[in-house]
Amino acid sequence: MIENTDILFNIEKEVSLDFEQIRPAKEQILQAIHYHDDCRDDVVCDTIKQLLRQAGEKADIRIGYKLYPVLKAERQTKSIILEQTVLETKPIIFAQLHKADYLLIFAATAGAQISRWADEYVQQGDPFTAYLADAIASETVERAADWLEVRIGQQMAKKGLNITNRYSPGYCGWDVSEQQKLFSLLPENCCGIRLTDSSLMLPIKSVSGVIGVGKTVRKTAYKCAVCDKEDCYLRRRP
Amino acid sequence: MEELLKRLAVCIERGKVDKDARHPPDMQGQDGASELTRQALDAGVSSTELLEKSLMVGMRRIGDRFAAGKAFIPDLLIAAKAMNAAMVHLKPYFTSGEAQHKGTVILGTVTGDLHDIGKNLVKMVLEGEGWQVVDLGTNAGPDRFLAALQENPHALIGLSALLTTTMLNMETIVQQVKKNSPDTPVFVGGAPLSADFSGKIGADGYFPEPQSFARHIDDKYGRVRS
Ligand code: B12
Repeated sequence: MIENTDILFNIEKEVSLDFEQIRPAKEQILQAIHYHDDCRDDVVCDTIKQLLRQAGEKADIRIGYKLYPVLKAERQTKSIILEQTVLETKPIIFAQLHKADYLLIFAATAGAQISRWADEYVQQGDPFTAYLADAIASETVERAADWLEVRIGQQMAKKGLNITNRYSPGYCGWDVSEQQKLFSLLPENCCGIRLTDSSLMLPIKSVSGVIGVGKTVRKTAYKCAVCDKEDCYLRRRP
Repeated sequence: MEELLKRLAVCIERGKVDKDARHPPDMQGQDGASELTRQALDAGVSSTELLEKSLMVGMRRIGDRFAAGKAFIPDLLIAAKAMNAAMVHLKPYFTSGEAQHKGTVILGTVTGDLHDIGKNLVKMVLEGEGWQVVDLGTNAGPDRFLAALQENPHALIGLSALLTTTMLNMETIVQQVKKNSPDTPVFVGGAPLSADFSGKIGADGYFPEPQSFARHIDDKYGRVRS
């Protein structure tokens, strides 16, 4: 555990981002939907370009986060223990977080309107455009979480600390219902996100997770590299 | 005529909606699904023959490529767009009863879950394969499935979920359906599911994508139920 925790201790924030700060590139959308990227004139690229022009008006991007000191990383149960909460992260994510001195708990949303964007097209009987609008909305919140990762990385680097990748409940064996614990650690009504009993965040285009902070933690090249579970359904994620 | 039906199948597979459509780039200016369907009907091809020998052939080809990982969801959706353009001309024949669907599938995303992109895709593929779909939308609980089943007693049921927490709600739905109507087959799908899970909750099968599902119900139930 590091000394002089109080400077860090008070990191609790909610920020709004402009779409332009995180605007996903057309190529990133194509990659997310597994579509070949040599489609200069095709409808898929055209439609994505058009939709990206409108996405800014639809998005209302908010990120909330709070930093907690890690009291203990418990090997037997593969749990990370914070003040009042025990996060049962399970082996794969535990292995990445157990050296962390702090955990940054976060939630981010692309907003209610962009979350309903695809429905407009479904109602018009255009599932094709609906699918692409949905993909852009998803990518928007992922880029917002990327933005947070970069920013926290820079802030912590100034204090001589490293960060891990971000990890979310529902991935790598960490039960999705553990989101209930994350939200109890975030300010009331954080970013306007509501969590249902089934651990679904509303608005839909939202993500939650943690980032480990510490002297000896590190980022891995890509998430699936930390795991060798070949038959994992999560590997299907782009 | 054979030639026309072949061309129409290609239009469906590649998503050539109509003559004005700019997609795919190498077919610009040519007749599309809309024009060719009209021409075939005007030439006296029956709606059933058109559907089975051409439209479904095209849908099946793109579906197979999708299932094999050689085509992607947008390709499937563009093909569906072309299919819809063709169906506009076929609609009158369906409502007049000349053409019949294979049966009915009640489809819904289960209680607590609001993801519907996947379920909508399943719907499209089933419709493209000649099934009638009753879409219960999202957050559908046992009551809604039972009510829909009352109206369509011979229907099959398909459940979708995208989270490990909401997929647990499938079990209640399966139980309720089986209690009220033991012979109704219930199938499940969605990213976190597996055949194993399907077996555990007493469902009749899991399918990772709509094509294998359509193939299965075609073989087992197509045209038998209505
Ligand atoms: C895009 C995405 C997001 C987006 C948008 C989500 C949305 N639905 O709008 C964002 C980034 C917001 C997101 C957030 C989260 N996500 Co997410 N997400 C995905 C991703 C990558 C793709 C989902 C998708 O749109 N797929 C495309 C559609 C077409 O596929 P599909 O729905 O699976 O349907 C196909 C088949 O399954 C099948 N099918 C579907 N239903 C049926 C029904 C029948 C009867 C049949 C036969 C077939 C069938 O046919 C369809 C076509 O092939 C999946 C991973 C994946 N590979 O699926 C994770 C995934 C769904 N997410 C997951 C998780 C955990 C989350 C979060 C909880 C993470 C977090 N803590 O922040 C949040 C929750 C968000 C919320 N609102 O509560 C997990 C869920 C697993 C779990 N443990 O519960 C998944 C599976 C990723 C993973 N870990 O592997 N997510």
